[in-house]
Amino acid sequence: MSWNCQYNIPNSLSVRRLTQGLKRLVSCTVDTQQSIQTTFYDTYDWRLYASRHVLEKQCENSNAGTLHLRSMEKTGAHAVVKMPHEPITFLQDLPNTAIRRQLASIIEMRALLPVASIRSCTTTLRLLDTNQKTVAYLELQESHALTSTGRTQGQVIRRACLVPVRGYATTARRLSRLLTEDLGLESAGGDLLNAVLAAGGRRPGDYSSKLGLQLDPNMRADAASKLVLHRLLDIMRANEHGIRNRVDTEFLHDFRVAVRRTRSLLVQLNNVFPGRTQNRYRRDFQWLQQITGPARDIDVYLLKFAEYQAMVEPPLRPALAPLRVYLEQHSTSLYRRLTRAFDTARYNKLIADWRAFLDQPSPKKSAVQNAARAIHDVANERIWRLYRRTIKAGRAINHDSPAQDLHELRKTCKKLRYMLELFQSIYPKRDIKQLIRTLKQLQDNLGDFNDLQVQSEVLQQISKEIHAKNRAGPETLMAIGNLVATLRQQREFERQAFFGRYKKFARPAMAARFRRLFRDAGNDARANKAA
Amino acid sequence: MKVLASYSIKGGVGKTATAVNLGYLAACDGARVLVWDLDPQGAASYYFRVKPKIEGGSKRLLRRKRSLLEVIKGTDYRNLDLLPADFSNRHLELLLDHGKKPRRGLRSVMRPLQNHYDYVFIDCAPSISLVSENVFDVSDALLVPTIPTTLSLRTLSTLIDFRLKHGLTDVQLLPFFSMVDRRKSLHRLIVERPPKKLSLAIKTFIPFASEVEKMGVRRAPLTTYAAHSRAAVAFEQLWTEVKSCLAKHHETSRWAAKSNENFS
Repeated sequence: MSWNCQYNIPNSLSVRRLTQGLKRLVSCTVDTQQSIQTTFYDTYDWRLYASRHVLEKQCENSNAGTLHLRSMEKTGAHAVVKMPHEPITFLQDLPNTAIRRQLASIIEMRALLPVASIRSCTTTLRLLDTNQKTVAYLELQESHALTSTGRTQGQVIRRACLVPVRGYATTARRLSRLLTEDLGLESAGGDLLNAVLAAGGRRPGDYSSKLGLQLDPNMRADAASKLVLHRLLDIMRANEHGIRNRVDTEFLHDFRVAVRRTRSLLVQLNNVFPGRTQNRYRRDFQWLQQITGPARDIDVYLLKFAEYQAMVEPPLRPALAPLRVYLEQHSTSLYRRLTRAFDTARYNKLIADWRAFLDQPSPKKSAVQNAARAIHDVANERIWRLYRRTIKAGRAINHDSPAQDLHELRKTCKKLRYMLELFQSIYPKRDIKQLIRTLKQLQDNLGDFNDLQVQSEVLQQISKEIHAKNRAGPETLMAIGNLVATLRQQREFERQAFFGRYKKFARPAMAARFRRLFRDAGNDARANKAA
Repeated sequence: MKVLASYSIKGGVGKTATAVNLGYLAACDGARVLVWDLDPQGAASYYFRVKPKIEGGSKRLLRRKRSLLEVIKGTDYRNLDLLPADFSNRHLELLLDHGKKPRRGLRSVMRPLQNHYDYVFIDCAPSISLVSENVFDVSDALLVPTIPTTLSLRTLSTLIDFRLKHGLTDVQLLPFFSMVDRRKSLHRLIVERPPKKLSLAIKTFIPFASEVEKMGVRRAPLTTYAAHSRAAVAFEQLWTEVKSCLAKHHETSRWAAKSNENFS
């Protein structure tokens, strides 16, 4: 069922009068009258909101309560679980019920964070048929949004929510008409969560790791690049607190992607910024990339740990436990080191200088060759060059090519992907999405190949370290050996899969699309200029 | 999804009370539960105040012209749905017999349920027939309420023999004593020393109690109106034992859950 079932109760109508009016029209009883505190949860990047779901924990007095997952689209679609006192952060904090399984595919490894809280007085009415069977619930709510300190803020939100019982859609539609036509309620036009977020001054989707910029193709290259780089800096800064507090692994991941994109742009957009500036920031962001690398590597191993266990022969699985302990300890010390790096003068100066540089308006006249050219032309040139480089390097790969060649190709693909993603807003949406999708498939294969190569090497190294420090028995070393052997097998499987993926990427239709978008468009622009 | 059939060859032993009360308790645990009233008498539908009627009857469902999901009704309790009875269920035997695979007809009909429910409780009609064989085919366990009397034990013994003879060992047999009247010496004797052949995995027994009979007056699960009664407590213990038996016997259900779940 997909009709809106939330209504605003006008201030002139009290809940009591509304109930009395309803009782005259339909058989109903008061089910519950509760004063409850509701906390809405979402991930930092609003994955639940984006998938049109609402996760809320309702408590009466203590922290214990019930957790509800509902769809914003389908009325009545609902999963509930009783929650103990413990706070919820990750999937594994939830009992293994329907909610956990439904959430798993939406939030994955991300932490659940409270995004808003309300205190409400809710009267729930059961609307009954002639058999006194409940056919729908009507929840009448008067809510106050709460600040983080528990104080009320904003105006009282007065809502009526019709929750139909499954199999009684026709009756619920009739009741909906009765509420609007006979009782004068207005459709709320949005979920309660929207109203609560608005009352607290929050905008859903206020963080996203996506660029979300609309660039003008004729914009000067230096100004457009600064816009993109500014957005990337904002993403870095937005993730810093999550890394410091180790909220979840994706803060560091998003931070590193933003750093890598910044570096890539600085390298690819040659002669857009003065050489000295470009060189300085290339060096500094390379440093930032290096210091964040080790902690992310360990994060990946820990995220994949369940997969690793499944790869090992069942009797050896428990023997991997010391490896997990080692990784966790190592991760703690690496994050500590990373937090210290964020407090260094070098990091703070880098961020401050970089922001100051990006805030500076571009000079009207610039001696730098590409600075004043249209971003469309500069991006075309770079993307076309990277595409040709990818094709050339891909064509040279054969069954005996060393892993290093595949790694180099992967790096080129990554540069091409970043350029396509960062400047996608200046190209036709459908074309660019198709190119990115096919490139991503190739890149995933190369990424998996490289990861498996690196992981097997690093795990062997860790195995030696554990052995040298006497931190695990021979079973653990055997289990790691077993794991490394499986990783190598998988790596060979990925190598075989490469040729199919590359063929798909290099097919004539893709080449024609790249040529049309990035070479022919560039030639046309040059011809127009010459004319 | 796990399918539990409340089944007995004999009538009036407490099958419906078992399906309704255990279904309710499972829903209270947070599981998504469906009670399927397969008995044409429609007692479970009556308890949940739902009209025992399916548009198009069982024929359309069995011929898969209509999905089970379309005819399910929500009950008065969260997470607990009902597939109501229909008077045409009395012809189920004939309908199944005319299908391509008479012994596996219910399996394909039930397939759409598997991503929507954690438990399906089937309230069966008393008999041993083609319908029963279909129920054995789809169920992970048979809950067999048994009154501690000679005739009830005899029918249970028949069921045990039938299960072994037809190689239906995939379905777990969970008999338990029901409607136990401690005032009767025969009941006391049988409950205390059950015949060895029956080897009851479940120790809990449901006492004979007027509160259970009042389900027909209240038209609601026992726990909702007499939560502290002996019978309600016994049903809670029974559910705990059933869950533990299921966990021991089946690492995975016969209906393996899929990860891509939708809202029910």
